[in-house]
Amino acid sequence: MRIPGLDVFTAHPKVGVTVGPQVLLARLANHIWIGKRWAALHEAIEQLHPPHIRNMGTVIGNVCAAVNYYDIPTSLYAHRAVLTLSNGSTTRKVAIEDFYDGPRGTAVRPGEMVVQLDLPPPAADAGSAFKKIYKARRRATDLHKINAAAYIALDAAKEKIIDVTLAIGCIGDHPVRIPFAEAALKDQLATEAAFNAAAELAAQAIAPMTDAAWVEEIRTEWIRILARDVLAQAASRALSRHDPAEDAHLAY
Amino acid sequence: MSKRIGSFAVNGKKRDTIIEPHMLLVDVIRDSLGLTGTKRACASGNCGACTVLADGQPVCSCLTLAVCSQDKALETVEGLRAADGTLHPLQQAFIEHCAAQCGYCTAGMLMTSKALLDANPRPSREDVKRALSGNICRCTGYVKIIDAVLDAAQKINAAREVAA
Ligand SMILES: Cc1cc2nc3c(=O)[nH]c(=O)nc-3n(C[C@H](O)[C@H](O)[C@H](O)COP(=O)(O)OP(=O)(O)OC[C@H]3O[C@@H](n4cnc5c(N)ncnc54)[C@H](O)[C@@H]3O)c2cc1C
Ligand code: FES
Ligand code: FES
Repeated sequence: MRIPGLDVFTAHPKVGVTVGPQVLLARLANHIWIGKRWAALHEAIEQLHPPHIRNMGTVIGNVCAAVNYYDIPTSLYAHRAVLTLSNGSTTRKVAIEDFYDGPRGTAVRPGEMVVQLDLPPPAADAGSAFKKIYKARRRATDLHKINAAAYIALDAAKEKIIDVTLAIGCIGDHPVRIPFAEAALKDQLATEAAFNAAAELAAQAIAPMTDAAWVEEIRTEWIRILARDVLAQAASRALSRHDPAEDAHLAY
Repeated sequence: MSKRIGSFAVNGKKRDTIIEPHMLLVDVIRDSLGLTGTKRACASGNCGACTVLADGQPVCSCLTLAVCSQDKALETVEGLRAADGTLHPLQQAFIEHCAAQCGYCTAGMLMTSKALLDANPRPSREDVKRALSGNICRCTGYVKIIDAVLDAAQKINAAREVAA
């Protein structure tokens, strides 16, 4: 049952991504530009288990469910997603960072629904990455996972970081960006040392929820490792980015 | 919405049955259409026992509403066997490799593997592991299942080459 207008999905490296509420995760995973330019989102979808869920669940459903251990929202924080909410007569736009509110709460008011999700186009020399670490979940209350996503844009010489986002999830009610770490990286050279230092800041900035079986030190260490790895991978993707003109023919 | 006639295209045949809006696809397939090869185990999307193909893609029928599946071409494990009774190469390979013990997961394994081989006729071992990562087997330990899928892929390709 596809409703026209709610089933819209477009992705273009110069224009951005637009996703309607009926668009299944699999449709994004199979799109060439999502894989090439929105790699963090692509990886979050590819690593979703079981894979069947990709053929059944929607992107916006995953976001609106507001479950704190889901992966797609963390990648969308890194890509600076914007949601459009409508009640049929008025629409408003909400950045994903302002969308979540308390445990399983969202900005959706009674009578409203999310009608669109947009991702801005990445910079010319930019890359992104998503990673997660998890262990088997034995009880419903187990805190079993940490995930992280990053986006890095480099200057024309592909040396200095001109824009960066770092998001960590599964640590509280919703994912968070780490402004301290982002500020520390901005205008720095994209080096391993810079990423290690930023990851250290990320680990210090977050006091993750913990449970008896999983002490804070372990979760903090996982945050550090994930932050370091997503930053390094996003930067290496930004570095290996070739001239956009070379693959312009793929855009149409 | 109350009871209504639902039309389903299952294994290439059109089947009509009375459904209610809340009914799950797995229950309609098993109880209304009598195709009990599809199993219901966790009913939460975690185990894959209930996997059927909808327009060629594996979905958990335990999380799919029957009303929403009427416009899709559905395939269940009963549709794998050819009309003359010959088993599908995947089914044959599962027998030859002893890839089933209690058999509860087998229908789901077969359907997910079929979707994989339809999309990717020469999968690597990693591809098979990835595709089957949402299908849980409590008995066999997966090695034989993966061997069987790889063997079936080879046999299907060999048969195709002979035919060509
Ligand atoms: C077994 C299993 C494993 C999973 N594993 C993962 C995983 O590893 N990582 C991960 O990130 N996710 C995982 N998921 C979550 C899965 O991706 C989501 O459940 C799915 O994407 C939700 O999409 P849906 O279309 O079914 O939404 P629904 O279940 O229909 O909706 C979810 C919620 O959002 C609300 N909602 C939906 N659309 C809108 C809208 N347009 N406006 C306002 N509110 C709306 C609904 O009212 C409901 O409360 C898993 C799910 C299952 C069942
Ligand atoms: S019964 Fe559907 S996934 Fe387990
Ligand atoms: S054979 Fe028993 S669950 Fe797989």
